[in-house]
Parts: sequence; C-alpha cells; structure tokens
Amino acid sequence: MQSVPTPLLAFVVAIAMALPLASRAQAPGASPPGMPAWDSLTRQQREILVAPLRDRWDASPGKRPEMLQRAERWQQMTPEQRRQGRQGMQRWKDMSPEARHQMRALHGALRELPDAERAALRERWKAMAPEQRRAWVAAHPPRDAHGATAARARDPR
Amino acid sequence: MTTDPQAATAFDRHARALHAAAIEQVPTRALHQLRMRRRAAAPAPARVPARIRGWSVATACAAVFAVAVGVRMVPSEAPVAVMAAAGAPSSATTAALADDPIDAVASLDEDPDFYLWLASSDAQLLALE
Repeated sequence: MQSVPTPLLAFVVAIAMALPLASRAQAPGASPPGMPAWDSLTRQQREILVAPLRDRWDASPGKRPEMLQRAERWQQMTPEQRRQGRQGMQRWKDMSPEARHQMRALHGALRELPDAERAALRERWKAMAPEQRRAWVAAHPPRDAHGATAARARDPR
Repeated sequence: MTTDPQAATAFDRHARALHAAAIEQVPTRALHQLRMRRRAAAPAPARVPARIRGWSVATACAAVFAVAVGVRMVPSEAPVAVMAAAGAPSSATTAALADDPIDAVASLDEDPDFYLWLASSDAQLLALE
C-alpha cells in the first residue's frame, strides 16, 4: 500500500493553506467594516465624493485660479498647519455674517501693515466698542483675491 | 630531459596504432560484454521521484488558484494611477480638505492662511464674538 499522498490530496491541502492568505490580501489599510481607504474605492465612489468640488469648479470659472492656488497652499502646509487651518475653518463656520465680514476686513488690513503698526491696530481694535468697529470696517472694507472691495455678508451658508 | 614535440607526436601516433591493432585481436563477444559492463557501472541519470513531481504540480496549481482568488477580490475599477491621471486629490490634499466633501469645498472658499490666522489666539482676542 502506498503511504505517499496522491497529487490530488496534496492539491487539496495546498488550497486549504492558500485560501487564508488570499483572503488576507484585501485592502491594505485594514479599515474597519464600512468604507475602505481611498485607493480601494471604485471609480464611481470617488466620482461621488469629488462631485461637490467639481460642481463648484464648473460653476465658478472666474474663481478657478484662486481655488487652485488655495489648494496648492493647503498642500504646502505642514500637517500641524492643516490641523490649525481646519480649526480656523470650524470657527469661520460658527461666525455670524457680520463677524465674518469684520474678520475679513481686519485680517486684510493687518496683513499689509508693518509689525509696529500691526500691533497698534490690534490694540485699537480691542479697545473699540461694537459701533466703532462697524465704522472702522465700513472705512476699511475687506478686499477679494483680485483686490476689489468684497461685498458685505455674501457668505455661502 | 627536454621534450621534443615532434618526437611526442610520433610516439603518440605509434601508441594509438598498437592499441588499434590490439583491439582487433579481441573477440567480438568479449567486446560486447565489456560495453555492457561499462554501461552498468556508469551512474544512472537523475530522475525526479513521482511523489515530488506530484507535490510540485499541486503547489503550482494552488498558487495559480490563490492568485486568481486574490485578483477577483481587488476592485476592478480605478487603479491609483488612473485616478491620479484624472486629477483626483492626492493624500495630502485629501488630508487638508477636512472630513467631508462639503468641507473640502469650503476649504477653498477663503485663503488657507486666513483660516490659519482665525485659529490663532490673536484672532480669538480680536473676534467680535
């Protein structure tokens, strides 16, 4: 009687050993049940996720250069800067339209001043009453990316 | 003692001639038996045992099967290179563009440095609210 296993039996044994390895060769991100990592999404799923950005791009031809410039700036940031930027975005979302208008104006003015004058404006601003701040913003309206005066409270919310 | 090439060649030729003459003197039956014994004494060519051949075939088939199963488990659409060519966000951009697609769009509404400033303690002190 032959004690050596037949090739068929050996094949079955090898398959039994290979199947666990094949099943482990799924998405390398080992994400929990639900959606996989970006690289494992189908083309259709990625299209769905990118759709809002594509719609905004197509809807605003005049803003495409600055959109691209801002995306490039995000990429240049360090991970810590991006985290802080997202934090700033959240604060922006929580601001009223008037507060947004004022912060835009203030940031625009501060950015253009030398250090000493910048510090002085900060101190003045802190000391201003709400009415005084509104008057200051009316006199120093925020500018858009092209340098033109931005319309007040035109926020996409 | 010096070796003369011409003498060596002549000697070699003479020795071969003597050997050929001697071979002709040996009976044919004896020559045949000598050949048979020479073949029997030579090492046999290596042959793969049947069981090792069987394992090799089985392993090869299993490997092909495992690859086929693995290929079927990989999504058929959009390898990374295709999406990169189509202009899909890089990992850095997706990390920058916040937690959902709407935030990703909002991140491009304002200057990223403005968002940075808003997160600073300076801006918090200056904020109206």
